[in-house]
Amino acid sequence: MKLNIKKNKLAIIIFLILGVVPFFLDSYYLNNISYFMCWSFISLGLAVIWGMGGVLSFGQTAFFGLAGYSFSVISINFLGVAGVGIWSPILALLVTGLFGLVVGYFLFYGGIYDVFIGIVTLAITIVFETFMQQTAGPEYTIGLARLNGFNGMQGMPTIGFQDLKFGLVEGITQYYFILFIAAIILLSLYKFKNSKTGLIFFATKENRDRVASLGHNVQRVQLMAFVIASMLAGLSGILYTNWGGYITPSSMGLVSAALPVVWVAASGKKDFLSVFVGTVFLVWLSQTLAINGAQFAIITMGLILVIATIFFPDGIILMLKNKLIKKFKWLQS
Amino acid sequence: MATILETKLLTKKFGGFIALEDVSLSVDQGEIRFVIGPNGAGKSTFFKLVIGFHTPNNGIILYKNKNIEKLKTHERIKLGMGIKFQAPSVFSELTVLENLSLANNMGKSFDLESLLNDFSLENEKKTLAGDLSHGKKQWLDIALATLSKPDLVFLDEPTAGLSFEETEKTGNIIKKLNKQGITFVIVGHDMDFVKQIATRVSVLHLGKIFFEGSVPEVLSDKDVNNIYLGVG
Repeated sequence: MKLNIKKNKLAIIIFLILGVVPFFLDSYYLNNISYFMCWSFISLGLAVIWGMGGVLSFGQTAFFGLAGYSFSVISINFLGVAGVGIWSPILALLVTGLFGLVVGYFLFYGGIYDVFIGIVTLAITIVFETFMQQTAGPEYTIGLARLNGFNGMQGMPTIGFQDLKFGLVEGITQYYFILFIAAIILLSLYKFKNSKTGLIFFATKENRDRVASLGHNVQRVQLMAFVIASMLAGLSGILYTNWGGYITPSSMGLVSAALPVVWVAASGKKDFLSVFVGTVFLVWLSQTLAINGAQFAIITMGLILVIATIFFPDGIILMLKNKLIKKFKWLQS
Repeated sequence: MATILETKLLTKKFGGFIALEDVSLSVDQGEIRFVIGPNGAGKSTFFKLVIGFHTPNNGIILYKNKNIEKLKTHERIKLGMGIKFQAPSVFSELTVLENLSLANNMGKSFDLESLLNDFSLENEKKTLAGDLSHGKKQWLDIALATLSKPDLVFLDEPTAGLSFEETEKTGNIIKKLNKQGITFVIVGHDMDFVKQIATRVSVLHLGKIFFEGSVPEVLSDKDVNNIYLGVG
């Protein structure tokens, strides 16, 4: 995977800054930034299907929650088995990808498009949330893992190597682990965007019929992108579960489902770096406002969405990025 | 000449409305076949049936003697077809080069510079397709349909909205491509354009084949003049 340093100076600077942040901040702030970065993957997935392909999924949190719960169920059941901290998140991610494949297959091969994809995916995440809320009874147990209803699951082992120093994904290791994954994902997404498949997927946003008339299997390309997006949402879910040591049904609810849409729209859905930075910033803003009451955060996010839609349809962060590049031309020359 | 496309008793109904009824049509390799007719004659329905956007209620479509009516659009393209829709369907957010790179070249090599020259796009490689003039969008669209040098190309109204000069140039491009071995089936109604390039014409009326023949035969037929050309 080659990195075009000339064109990506801004991204490199941002990641270098994030790389040295732990030398200046204590663990409280580092954990917070890790939490903010956890959410960037669900946004990046949405930027792939919505920003590139024009397919608005309103229910990415279904994959987020499924991955979080799968990771919890698998790792609790195999607690103590060699390498569970490594293969359980991978397995959970594969389960999520498989679910994305099934949902995507019925959507795209079933001829469901445009606003109906948003409605169907939103329905899926709300059904998940509603179902998981009803699982408080002891009968809702998978192996050793109790789903625990409204209160959610906890007690899952931390991702990583138990016996290695700094081997567990927590504290500063967690920070660098998420940062490293973010860098790899961003690189891969730019690679995908510049590939022939990425170009075909991008073109489907404008005219699906024309893409098909050029000999491309539109449904297959859209399904592929949908699976990528679902796995990225799943990655967020796993990292979030690992970060807090819990996963609850509310992470799949209506408000949770709406937030990634706001983050991506306000950041600039056509640009992955803007989406990454924007999500980290907006999750921080949400958290800060939520200290005085969760409703303030929700109202502010709604306001930001309205402002972005009316005045900055390409996204506020992307607009700022473009202004920065215009002012400091060396950033992209 | 061998038959490249054949439809037998092709019928399409929308509810109680019969858009196309028992249309049997045969196109030979090397032809520039026009399908003309007044509004509502069934031209677009015929076009959409052959390219796979509609499924026929009855009848068969044979391409190189292979039954294709159950194939999806992209599968038909891979058999060696090219398509251009009525409205220019270029990708406005992509450059001319990116548009061309989207066209499936089916593994065949092509001379990009010569292609761009043929379509007068040599100075607009990096221009966004959305910023091209209407005429150049039409040409880019035809370039997309013909880039892989398919055996058969369907063009729906390729001169819609073009000036006289642009129409003439489009005709010359099509004739040049035809000489290179591409068979064309063109849906249209511009009789000057038909006269310029058609080798054979099928006239559709009320969903049925009304007349078929060469350009002089079509022009001299009284009934065709009555129903289509408005001369009677």
